[in-house]
Amino acid sequence: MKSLIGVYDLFNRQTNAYEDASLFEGIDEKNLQDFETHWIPLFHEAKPDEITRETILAANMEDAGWEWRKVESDIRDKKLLYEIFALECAGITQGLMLVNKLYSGKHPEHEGEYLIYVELVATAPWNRDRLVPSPVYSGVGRTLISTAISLSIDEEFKGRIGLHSLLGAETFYTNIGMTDLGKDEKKNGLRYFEMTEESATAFLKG
Amino acid sequence: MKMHISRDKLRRDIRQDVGLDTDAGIPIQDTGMLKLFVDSKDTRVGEKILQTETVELKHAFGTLIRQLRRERGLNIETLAAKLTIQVEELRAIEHDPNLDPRPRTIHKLAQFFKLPALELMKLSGVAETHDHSFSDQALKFAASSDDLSSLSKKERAILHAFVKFLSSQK
Repeated sequence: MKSLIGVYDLFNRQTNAYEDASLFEGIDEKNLQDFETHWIPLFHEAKPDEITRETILAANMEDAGWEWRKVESDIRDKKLLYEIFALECAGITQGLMLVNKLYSGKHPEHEGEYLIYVELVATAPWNRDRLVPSPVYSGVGRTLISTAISLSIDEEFKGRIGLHSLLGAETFYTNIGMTDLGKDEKKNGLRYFEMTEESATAFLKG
Repeated sequence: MKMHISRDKLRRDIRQDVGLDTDAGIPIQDTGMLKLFVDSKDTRVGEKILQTETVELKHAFGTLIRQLRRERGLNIETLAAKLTIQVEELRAIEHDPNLDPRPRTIHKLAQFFKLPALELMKLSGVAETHDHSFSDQALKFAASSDDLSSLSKKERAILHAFVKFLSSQK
């Protein structure tokens, strides 16, 4: 079931103005339709001539194959384990996030302790610098990551989260205080990041 | 859920992110946990059969936890305190096959009894499995165990064999 968590802001880079964005726990048909009818065509449009891992990475489209409808269907009865969040602005889905609520940390400060693992976090293609010439909204990723950290606190994991960053997003995760725990060869060589309790506090309150 | 960051702070901070990519997560086909779930063609086999099997697996789960607790000479209250969970939750895990245990509780049980958490999750119904040998072993274990106040030598052997089987699962 989809429920409103609250209203936050996204920064419209074209108008230099903030706009209200609604953050939801759970997604519905509207979000899936947005993904299929608005996101996917843009991914197709920006598809490189030659499809290789390198060209897909360069175009910031590595997540284009994520099947959100299947994800939603797979986890529908697994709410104890997974949660999906959506961020909507200007009447359309601007970001989606899937989190796993049962994951053990690897950071030396909290090794073996539970954390919220961000399975997937994606911003709409029209907000991506390497994908479109004039990206629209900024702040989707930070708002969704703030949600994951908040959920971690609610779950008594003290703000700890973990994720595998897609290529090009490492700077953001380093900037927000997450620790780079290195390349994970089991996960396509993506770099694995974790946020400690201390970093989470700084992120939320600092 | 509740957001633990103020709208004002978030509003200020997002200005730092202009031009930065933030996407994360491995391609969905590589997420091992999701592979555990039943796909649509499996559900057509018969939902009722699946539900019955899940209840039976949960029965095996409750029996396993009850026997492991008894083997260690712990009562429900003591084990619940050690795991920092509610006594009612532990009692329900042991006796109510319709309960959906919390994943965190399963992990605590796995850590305490040194068992693989993923196997316990399958047994408890949190993660589904269509591995028939797994189900068969679990059901045989449950069928071979009764609820005596102390474990007989035979029950203990059956318990240990099942724990060994769980630990050998990948």
